[in-house]
Amino acid sequence: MQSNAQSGNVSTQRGPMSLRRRKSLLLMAQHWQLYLLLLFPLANLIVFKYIPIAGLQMAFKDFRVSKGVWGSPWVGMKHFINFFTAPNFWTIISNTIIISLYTIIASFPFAIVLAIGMNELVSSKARKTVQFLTYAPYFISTVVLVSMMMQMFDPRIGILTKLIKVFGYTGDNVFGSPTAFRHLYVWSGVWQQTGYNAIIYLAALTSINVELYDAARVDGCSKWQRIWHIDLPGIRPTVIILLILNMGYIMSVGFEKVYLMQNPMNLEASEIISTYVYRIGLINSNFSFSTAIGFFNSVINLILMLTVNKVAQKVGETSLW
Amino acid sequence: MMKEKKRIVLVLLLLVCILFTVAAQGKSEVKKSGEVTVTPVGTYPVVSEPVSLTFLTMQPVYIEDFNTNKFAQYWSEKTGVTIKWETIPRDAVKEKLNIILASGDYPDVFFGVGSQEQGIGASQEMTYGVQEQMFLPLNDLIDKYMPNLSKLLDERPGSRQFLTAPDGNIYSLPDFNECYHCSMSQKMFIYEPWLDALGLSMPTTTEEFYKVLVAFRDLDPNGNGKKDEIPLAGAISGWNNNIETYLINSFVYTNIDASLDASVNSAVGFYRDGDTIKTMVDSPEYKEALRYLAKLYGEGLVYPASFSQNSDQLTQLIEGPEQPIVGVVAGGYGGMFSIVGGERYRNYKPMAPLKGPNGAQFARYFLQAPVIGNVAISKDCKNPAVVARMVDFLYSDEGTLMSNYGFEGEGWRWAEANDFGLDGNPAIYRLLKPWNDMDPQNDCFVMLGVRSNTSRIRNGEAVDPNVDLYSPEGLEALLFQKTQELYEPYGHPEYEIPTLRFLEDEEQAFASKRLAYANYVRQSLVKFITGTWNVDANWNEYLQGLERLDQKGILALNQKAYDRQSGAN
Amino acid sequence: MVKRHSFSDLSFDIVNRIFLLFCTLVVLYPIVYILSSSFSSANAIIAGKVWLWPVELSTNAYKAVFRNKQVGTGYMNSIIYTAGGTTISVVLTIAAAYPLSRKFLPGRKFFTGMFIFTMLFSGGLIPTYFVVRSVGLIDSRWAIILPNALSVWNLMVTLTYFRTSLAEEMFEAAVIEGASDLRILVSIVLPLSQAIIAVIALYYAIGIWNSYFDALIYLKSSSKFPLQIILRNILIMNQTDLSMGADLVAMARRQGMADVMKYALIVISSAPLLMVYPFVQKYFVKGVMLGSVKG
Repeated sequence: MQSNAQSGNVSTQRGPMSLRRRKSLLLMAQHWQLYLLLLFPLANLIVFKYIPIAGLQMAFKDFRVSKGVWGSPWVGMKHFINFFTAPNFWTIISNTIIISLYTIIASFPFAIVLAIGMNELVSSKARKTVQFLTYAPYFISTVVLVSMMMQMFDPRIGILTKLIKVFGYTGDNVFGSPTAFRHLYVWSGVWQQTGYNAIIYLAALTSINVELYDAARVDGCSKWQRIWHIDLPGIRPTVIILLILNMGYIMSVGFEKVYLMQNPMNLEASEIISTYVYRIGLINSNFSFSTAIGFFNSVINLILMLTVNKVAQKVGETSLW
Repeated sequence: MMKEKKRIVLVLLLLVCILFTVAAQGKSEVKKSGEVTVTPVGTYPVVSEPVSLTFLTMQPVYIEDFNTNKFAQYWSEKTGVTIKWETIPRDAVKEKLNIILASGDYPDVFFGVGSQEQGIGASQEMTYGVQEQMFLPLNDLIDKYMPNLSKLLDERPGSRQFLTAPDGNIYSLPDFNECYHCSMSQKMFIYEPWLDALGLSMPTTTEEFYKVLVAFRDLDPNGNGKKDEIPLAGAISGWNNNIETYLINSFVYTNIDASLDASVNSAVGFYRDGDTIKTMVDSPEYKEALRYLAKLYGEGLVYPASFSQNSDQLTQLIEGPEQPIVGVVAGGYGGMFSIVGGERYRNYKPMAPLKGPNGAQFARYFLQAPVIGNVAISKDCKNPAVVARMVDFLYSDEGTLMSNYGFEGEGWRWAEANDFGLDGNPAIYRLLKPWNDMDPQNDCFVMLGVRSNTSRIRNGEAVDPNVDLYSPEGLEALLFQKTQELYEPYGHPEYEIPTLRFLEDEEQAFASKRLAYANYVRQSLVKFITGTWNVDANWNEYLQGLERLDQKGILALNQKAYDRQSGAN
Repeated sequence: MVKRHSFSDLSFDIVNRIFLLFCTLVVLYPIVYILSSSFSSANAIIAGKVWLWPVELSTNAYKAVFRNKQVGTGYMNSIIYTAGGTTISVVLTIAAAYPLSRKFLPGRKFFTGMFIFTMLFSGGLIPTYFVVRSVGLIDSRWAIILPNALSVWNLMVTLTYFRTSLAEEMFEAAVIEGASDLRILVSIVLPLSQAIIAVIALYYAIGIWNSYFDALIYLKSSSKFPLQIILRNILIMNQTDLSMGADLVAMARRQGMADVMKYALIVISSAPLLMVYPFVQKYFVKGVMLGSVKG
């Protein structure tokens, strides 16, 4: 509980190792409460996440129940090669990545704009209503969502079919079109999740120092200027972090929605990693294979995330570390 | 400083890891009963002293509680075996069962979690039976203790081979569920009032069919002055809602199904010619079939969304509009595209297979094979003979009827002299309560477990001779009669390949190839029909694609597995 | 009040309101559609007759669901899991985010990295199952709450918030006054972080309420099942697999029931979460930071 004249960053020491080390140990001892706090989530992490990670070795083995995870025989890269040499491997990977990137690019702006827009509403009743309504679609189950989409794009009577006819499309077979598949998938996702995603930006907006707004008003800023110069920069750290985090899920496109939308006509765009793994049918009898694929996905996700994180750092933005 | 601390933390982590995984290897041992002797075959109870067994099963909505289920209790008392039930939610069978199998924590008996529930199937038998020897081989048990089952197997030549894994052992007991109308369920239905309105007769050849479709399209059969008729429609998912299979069978026998969910083994055009496995997807007859279908599609006779919509939307197409607008529709039965008993439903009449230009006329046949994986015995079970004896009861007529419908006098009764079954023969039993697999009940097992629901039994259900065939109650009778009348002459079970079993390395080597091949065949089929590909201009390209995806290799694999299976006994 | 930009401000308001109106309508129609469908008859749904209002008004779908005795226990269990789980998760998240947000903390990057690593890499279902089993949590309610108690995503979001929204000067002031780390947490960080705590609490609550997979895998006793499993069970059973040759007569009678029920289930299972939201909304209020930084 001693007060330490040094707060904030530890200044770089050019002294001998022992001095730096002593300083760190001192800091650690001073802030033992922080470590105590950290202990609980760490324990949970180690038990439920790190110990199972030992199971990742199954990706390099042929799992045998009778021998357990540790005793099963090593097979090296066999499962990975199996995966990489699948005839449509590149199609699967590219479809997955395209959908993910498209989703990220489409959803980010909308969530931000919606949050800012809601924040600017003067009437708190209106604001709460809009928040509430836009947040509701998140709860619609995937099955119903796809079924509603199919209704709305029904070739004869779908409302959205009528809309696209105005733009010159025939609308005969929207769900059969590979290009339409990507748009349908992404924009239905945007529709469903924008309200939910906007919540975090709303919270970030509330933390912006009110004195900044006062200053802006005194300076005579218009609303547009205020948003551009205060709101957006204020939520920028949140946006960047969320962007980086999203990169960590690029390969992990969910299974259900794509599966429901797939058919032989749009397959060239709709076959992704998770549906491939499902259809190949090996998951349940060959855990090594599915572990290997999961491992591969994780590695790619890691690389992408670290890359974007590095870029963010270089550009002077917030980053994960 | 940092490095040292890091090292300490890492060492600690490693220690903890090791500790935990070592602990995880140990399992708590469940005290199991010792071995007891079984009573002579055919007598009950099956044991001379009390014994207790653990049964792992799934919890369906239609059974309230296994512990108080009346049939479960009856079975337990009759056989003298106390059953300790453990359940998995039905939703979780696929994942949870496989976890349990992988964990080595086995009950005495796996009951009712067979391949139809995505539980124990051929690959699980291969892994946990053949490879790991965690399932007991059952061959001797069947021969020694299961006369009912043995009789059923003897009556069905080839069924033992079907149950046998490549190492010569049978690792699970099957559930028999033979549905006659399901065996030729790729049906096409036509809206009869339109035929009447236009003075046309039921088409019997592909040429007549084409003319009828054109007439439907152009002559306004629904009489509303609008050209809104859709001559032919189908769906890509839904039981046999796909249109291509029925029509291709008028050119060459095929089991091809454009739907992505269809089996990659048995619905991609492989068929059996004697003992040789062949494919028809590169044959000239198939080319002609595609030409015909492309012509239909190109002339606007086929609803474009037929290859991308599901059966819900197809149903809306049939039931939704004020006036009927669909002329011909595909489905396993009318309920796949309309409301059973409703007005539209009544007017869609099943069509016999059409005769093609070269005289071909086939009905796609679905083998009604027993469903494997419904009883498996763990190698740790001390009383496998007891299990065999008690399960054999379920294969008797009485056992099956009780398991399905409940107690005699309550859910069903034995038939009387003037009761006749679906097939016109004297009936075996009459149902007293309507069969229901939706609501929770606690009298019987309904569909769970093993039974001998053979065609003999199913067709032995007494029916009211005057039942309105097009009502919900008359559905089974309708399907039976129409299948027999219209499709039976063209059914050729000998062309179908029984489900093949593959070795683990075969699976691993071919799994992705088979999937890619199946996808390609299906996508190409649709491309040819919709006109993206031209039957003449792109045919060679198509053939090259088949070759590139190693059609030869896949055929050879199937042949190898078939030879292995049909030779084995 | 400076009126200099009144025109551009007005144009902003108009554009904003049109935009928000658009968003609301786009979202409103499908919501009304779902509500209406849930109150329509099975036949109306099969025939695709529902467009905006219920057709052939019927509460059969709701009756079919509530008739099942397990729905009540399902609700209770879900409430327990959600309330308990959210609390634990939020506590753990803050317990990790706060220390990691202090820039001077030795090992900060290492620990942050440890957390992030688990977001990307996972041992998979089987190893996790083995661990849960060896810790003795099979068929325990804790199996729903503990294994996924900490979402690294939420942690990172909270961490970012702490790092960027809490001014360094406040910490310095508190330290000078002799406050301990815990004291700082309780009297400065928490009160100023109401918005972010509300957000992650909401996100956790939604995640737990909607989850079913963990319960499916780890629970055996149906008395502990959360609502989602029970609802899914009901839905699945109304969709008998035809290819197994099930009795078509029973199927025919229940035709379309599954379709209507899907809509009713959405309403039933999401209603509680939707009702909770207004309580959380009040934390998204401007001016929380007012007066917190002394000159």
